Amino acid sequence: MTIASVVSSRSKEAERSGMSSQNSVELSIPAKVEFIRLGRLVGSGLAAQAEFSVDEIEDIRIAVDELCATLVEHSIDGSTMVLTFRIEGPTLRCTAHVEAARAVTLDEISTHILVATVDEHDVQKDGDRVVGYLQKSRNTKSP
Amino acid sequence: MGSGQEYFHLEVEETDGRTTIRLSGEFDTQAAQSFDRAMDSVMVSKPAMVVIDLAEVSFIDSSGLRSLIRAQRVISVTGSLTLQNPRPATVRLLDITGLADEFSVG
Repeated sequence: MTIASVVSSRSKEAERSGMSSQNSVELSIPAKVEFIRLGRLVGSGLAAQAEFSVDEIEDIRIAVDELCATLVEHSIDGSTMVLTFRIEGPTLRCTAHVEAARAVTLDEISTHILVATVDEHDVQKDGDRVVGYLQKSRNTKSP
Repeated sequence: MGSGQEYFHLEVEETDGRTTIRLSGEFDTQAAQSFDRAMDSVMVSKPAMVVIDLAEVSFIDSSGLRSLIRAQRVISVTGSLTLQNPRPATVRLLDITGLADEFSVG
């Protein structure tokens, strides 16, 4: 029985968007709190591979955790959460979706954390799914 | 997951009227559920002084922060809560969420 899967060659999200998938990773996990750790591990691991700084990697770890926790909270029992990470130059993008029955809300604490840790974020209901998005670029300026 | 490796650990020690709760590992959504249950048990004895030692907390998210706020509100009815030895990442999260002033940090 497959519990979680990682696809790093040709992600479905990349295929849909028509973009290169060379730097894409898709992670499918049960929408349960005990699997959120896998999401932040993959996000921070990819950020490290893309030469983000230690502080930037920690920001991505926190932001992916917040996104996953929000989606899991709003998910339908037994659903699967799909995360797609993509590195494009200095930028890491993460999209996530899960089957959900109700509209999504980010509370003040989560909003503060996402504003402080990533450049862009968005979470919204889209039909029978909740869809989330994060984007962060590494600092490319010399210290 | 869940029944395998332990990613969060909690110890409660009571000495001289002071209750110290030592946390270690990743204080995330899953850990927050364990923490809340442990705090409910601790609060049965209505402790006057509670210290939460965060020295070994390697990761904390909004769920962990919400659990600390919950603990603060419950404990403040009968006593006081101090957060001890938070790592820089924890202090930063308290700062960016505007929650630093909610706690006594020692």
